[in-house]
Amino acid sequence: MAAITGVIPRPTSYAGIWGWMTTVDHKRIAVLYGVTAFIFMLIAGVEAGVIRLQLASADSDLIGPGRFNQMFTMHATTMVFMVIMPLGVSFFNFVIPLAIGARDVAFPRLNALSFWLFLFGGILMHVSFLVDQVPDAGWFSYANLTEKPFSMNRGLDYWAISLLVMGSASVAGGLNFVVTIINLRAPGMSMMRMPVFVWMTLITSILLVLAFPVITVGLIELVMDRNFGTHFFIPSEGGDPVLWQHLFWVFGHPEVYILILPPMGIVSEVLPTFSRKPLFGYPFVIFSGIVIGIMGWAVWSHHMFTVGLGPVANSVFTITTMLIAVPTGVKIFNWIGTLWRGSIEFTTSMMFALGFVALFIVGGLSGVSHAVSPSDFQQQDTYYIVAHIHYVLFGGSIFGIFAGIYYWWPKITGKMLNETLGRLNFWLMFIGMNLTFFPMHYLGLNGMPRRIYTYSAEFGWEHLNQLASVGYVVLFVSFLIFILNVLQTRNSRKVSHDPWDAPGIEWSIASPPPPYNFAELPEVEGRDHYWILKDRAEAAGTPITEPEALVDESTIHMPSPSYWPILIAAGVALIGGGLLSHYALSFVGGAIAMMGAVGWSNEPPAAPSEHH
Amino acid sequence: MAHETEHTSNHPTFNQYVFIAIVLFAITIVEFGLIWDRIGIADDLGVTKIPILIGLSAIKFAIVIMYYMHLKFDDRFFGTVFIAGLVLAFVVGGALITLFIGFEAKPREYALAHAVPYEGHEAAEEHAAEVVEPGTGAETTVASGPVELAVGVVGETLAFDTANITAKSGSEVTITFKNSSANNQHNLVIVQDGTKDEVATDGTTAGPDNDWVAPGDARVVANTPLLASGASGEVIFTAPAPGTYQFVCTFPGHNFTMFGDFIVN
Amino acid sequence: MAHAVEHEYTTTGLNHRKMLMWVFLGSDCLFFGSLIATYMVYRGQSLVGPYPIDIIDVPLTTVSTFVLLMSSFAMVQALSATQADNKKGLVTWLLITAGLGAIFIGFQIYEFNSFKNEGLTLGGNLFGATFFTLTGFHGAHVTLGIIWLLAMAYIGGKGRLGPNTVLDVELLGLYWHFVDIVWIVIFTLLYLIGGFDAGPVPIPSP
Repeated sequence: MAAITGVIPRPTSYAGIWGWMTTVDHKRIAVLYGVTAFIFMLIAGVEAGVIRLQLASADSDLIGPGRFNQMFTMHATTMVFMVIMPLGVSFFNFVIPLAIGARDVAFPRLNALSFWLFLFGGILMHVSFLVDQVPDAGWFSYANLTEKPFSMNRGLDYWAISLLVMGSASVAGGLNFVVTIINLRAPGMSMMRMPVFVWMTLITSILLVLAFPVITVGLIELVMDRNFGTHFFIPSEGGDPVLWQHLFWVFGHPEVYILILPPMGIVSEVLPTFSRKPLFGYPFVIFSGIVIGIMGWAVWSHHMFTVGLGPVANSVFTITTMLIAVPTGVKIFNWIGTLWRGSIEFTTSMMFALGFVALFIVGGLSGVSHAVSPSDFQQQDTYYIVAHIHYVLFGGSIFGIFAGIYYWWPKITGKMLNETLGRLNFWLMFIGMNLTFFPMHYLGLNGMPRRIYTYSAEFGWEHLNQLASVGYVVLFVSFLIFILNVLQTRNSRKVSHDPWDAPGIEWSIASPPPPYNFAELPEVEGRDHYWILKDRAEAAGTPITEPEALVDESTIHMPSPSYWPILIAAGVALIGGGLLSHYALSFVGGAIAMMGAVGWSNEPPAAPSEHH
Repeated sequence: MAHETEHTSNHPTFNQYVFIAIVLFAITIVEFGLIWDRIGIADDLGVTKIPILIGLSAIKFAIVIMYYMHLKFDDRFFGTVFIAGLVLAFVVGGALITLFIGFEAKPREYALAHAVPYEGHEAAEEHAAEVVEPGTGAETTVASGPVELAVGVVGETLAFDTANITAKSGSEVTITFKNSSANNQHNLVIVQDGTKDEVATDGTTAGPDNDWVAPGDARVVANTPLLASGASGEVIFTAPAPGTYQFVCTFPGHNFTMFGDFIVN
Repeated sequence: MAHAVEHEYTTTGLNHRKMLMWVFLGSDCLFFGSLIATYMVYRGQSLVGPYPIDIIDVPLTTVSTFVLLMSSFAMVQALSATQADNKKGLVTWLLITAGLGAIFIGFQIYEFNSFKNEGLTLGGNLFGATFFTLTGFHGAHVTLGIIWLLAMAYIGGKGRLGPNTVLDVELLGLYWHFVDIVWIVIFTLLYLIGGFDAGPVPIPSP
């Protein structure tokens, strides 16, 4: 086989669909990630709409309880694993090599493999809709609700196996970015000169690499329980459903920081740029990020206060959970310190970043309120929790990501998003978000449990639910405006390489960046390197107005495209698909993945007649 | 790369590798000696052999990563990332085990109460064969004409499609229960009035193999088997003494919404 | 991958691929850590036999442990031969490593089969479920390693391995030794210590 695959030359075309499918360029992969995740976001948004429509009136019978369970399960699973994580990874891909002064990530083909695994995993999960066997046990799928007698159809198998496929993508991506950030920094870019976003990516990647194996084990045990007759989580045979909760939350809490650290990094880039002063207390922001990354492993049982772990365990986890609020608070004070006496420029990106800080404070405070285990006994499983997670994940992560989209869009496309539409987008999203999720605090404290498909009018929850549903409509409009804004950039004019007068070195090259990024690797002189250069040039009376000059692409060796990542990913996804349908398909998938691996390792280093 | 070759020159020689292999072998032999009862130290050591065994394998572990994986000679970075993962695995794993068997948690009480001694697999199989399927044991004394009743479910709402059914005392009743739900398993159990929740709770421990009905439960008049989605099942029994009874689905959790009255007159 | 990247500039002077391998091994520690934790949590919670003491054969597994330890020795010899540009030696030692790995897998297959005949199955009790899952995933790692070893021996047989591709053999070695040390832990916990468990015992278990 090696002889056959060894002679297949690397693809040469960079154009068309084929060019996208074989690409190993980190910037193109970033676009693939971004577009895919955005499509999944629309799907999850529609699911949220169905939920809000169902809950808009008391005793509603729009959809039955079965369908409702599927909606909230898929909404949360999609948002966590297929939207916020990949949108973060999209920024890693685009920004990291540019921000550390590298030509690409350390393993370009592995990077492509990560994307295709993610895409196929996501598609596999959504195949469950086509066969109408949709996962319906919530995004943390507590045993033994997930066991065979309680969930007879294959929905949970789709859930577990797709997550295994996407988990392998995340581990591969995490490994890649750890190595990239440690090993591909431009000369002079010491660790303590790296932009905060790069630091947060490093911490996130380490968390990905260490946390996903734990959920992998949990998912494997779940799949075995459901398909191979084991009793890991079945109490009547001596198993313990609580073990699933532990395995899930040992992964799940670092996962929360995987979702929030990248947006924190983005905000730490945006705030200094538009306050026109360096980030306040850079080392504190970095070290608080590291502390969050470490302490994130010591708080998982706060998701399980009501399980009955006993007062000792509950007290320990109460204390660690309250402690982890400290480094988060440190970050918030540093952001506010950055704004202090800055000459603030209210661009859309800046407004989203400020929205992030404001809403994240609200979410963080409600979080501290259920860090206290006695108070959590009241809040557990109510809409108060729903309000909290949406303040940190929507008000936090999504706002941070939107700040990043508006900030880096000119670098990605060379064109500007419209600021007027952007402001409208921001205000509608800000109002809609608070309208939707703020009433949920009250609903929760008034006793409305989460995950109920309807409620009786006598409970008095109807008005607040209607308010939340109206908020959903506002949010929906704000997303439409964002899409409109994206579409109109096709006609907008080109902007300069550095429209924000930003500090990062990614702004010193042309927009959109050439395939090789930097014609010459920069010699980094300090934090906010590009500001240093610009100030010096200004002082010398020769301000920088042009990006780094383009050079002939063929003089710089870049990795050629490759067929194998998409093939291996397809093989792995087929293995998963086979487990769900017919085992023979798994063997076909295994053979394809194996062939891909052989082809991968025998692949010639460059395409013929390219880059000599 | 210059960096690499610089390290590789520090690698142990062939003789050193042989020596390391002999040490690993010797430790394994010692470990085996500690636990093999024919040597006789195993009993003398008792519990103390556990820390000794763990210590010995830790030494083996360290030797392999230091010399065979040459962490001792390599850049510290590699050691750091690996040890970080290792330490985290130990801490998290240790915390998990502590949460399960430490503090107030008493997970083994159930196992202690329910464990069956092992007598070899042939004996176990014979034992399994002896257990007879509990039947509903319907009496066949027909006092009046047979009554045929049909009950269904309402979609996925965990409810029967009828709130009460009626039969005459002493008549032979045939209830045909059609589970038209797409996702859920159901059964139909006729129980004494007011006992539906207790019967269902006891049924939960009986498990799906017993159709979620505790074997020999005196409160149960009759029950259909557990029906998969789309399946139908019948139960034939003689209607008991006049009065009000309940019918309920004892699948865990369903009893709160899925029940009705069975009236015998 | 090797060809293009190896001569590139790296910030730390450390090789990309070697760093990837070490970070991956750190990640795999958590994978096996979780599986081992599952085993330890469910130790002594099986409701029906066979219990470990009924079927675990420590002498047999001591032999297979020894075989795996020796394969690590063969692996370092393969690496030394690669560094010394001893093309015949490296292929021989790689094949010996793969062979010893295959013997280990043979022992495991024999063991699984005899356990099955004794009535230990995945679905029978928790001991069976945790035991087969943990040792099975370890066996899968060994099998993958054997395939990798054979592929490298094939490449070496064509004369394409030498001092300038020593990293390819080194990475394989790191993976192989890691699988070995995981077995050291499994052997101690599941066989030497856990192998004498007989059904549930009150906590703290002696």
